[in-house]
Amino acid sequence: MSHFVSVATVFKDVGCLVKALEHVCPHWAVRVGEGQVLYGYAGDDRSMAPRDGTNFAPPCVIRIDRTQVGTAANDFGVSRSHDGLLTLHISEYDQRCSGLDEAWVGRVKQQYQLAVLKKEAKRHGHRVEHQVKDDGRIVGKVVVS
Amino acid sequence: MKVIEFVIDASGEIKIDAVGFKGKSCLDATASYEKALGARDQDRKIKPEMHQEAKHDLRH
Repeated sequence: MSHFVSVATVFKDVGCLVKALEHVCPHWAVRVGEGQVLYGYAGDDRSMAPRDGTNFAPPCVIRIDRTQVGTAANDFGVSRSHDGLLTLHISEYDQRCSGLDEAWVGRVKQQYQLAVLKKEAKRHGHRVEHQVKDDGRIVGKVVVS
Repeated sequence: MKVIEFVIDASGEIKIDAVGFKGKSCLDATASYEKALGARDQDRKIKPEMHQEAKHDLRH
């Protein structure tokens, strides 16, 4: 007897997103805290950039210094909107040249979902088993009883 | 054994499937997981056999 649910990633848990980022980029020092300004490669404040431009980023709750992202990179960050949803801020340059492309975001989303499942399972006293398949999928189960 | 099976694809989309539960107890088992993952009601698909068991239960 069963039902199934299919869910696209919705980032809303800062702790789980930090775990995901630390898993995908273990060399990064992830800075967590409200109101962190992101800076561009030249030290420019990205919250002051034109709001309709690709380099604009509001103050963030997660920040990775540009020196860790790559050569000539911009800071990477995550902001939280008034409804609690988290948004990744990746500059156009870093999407193209620093490896923070769609596939990278997919890996972060994967690890985020896994972190959310593990957190919820721990809360209920359930056990999580999983493995990464050759095609990149993460397959597993939460053992309820 | 009651388990919640899951598959997370390369784009980050997750599918969860409650297995081994009787009737609508599977909905209770996954409810908190669905909420944590940000699922909406329209994301849930009920497998046909659950409706069949619900009808069966009503007859008893």
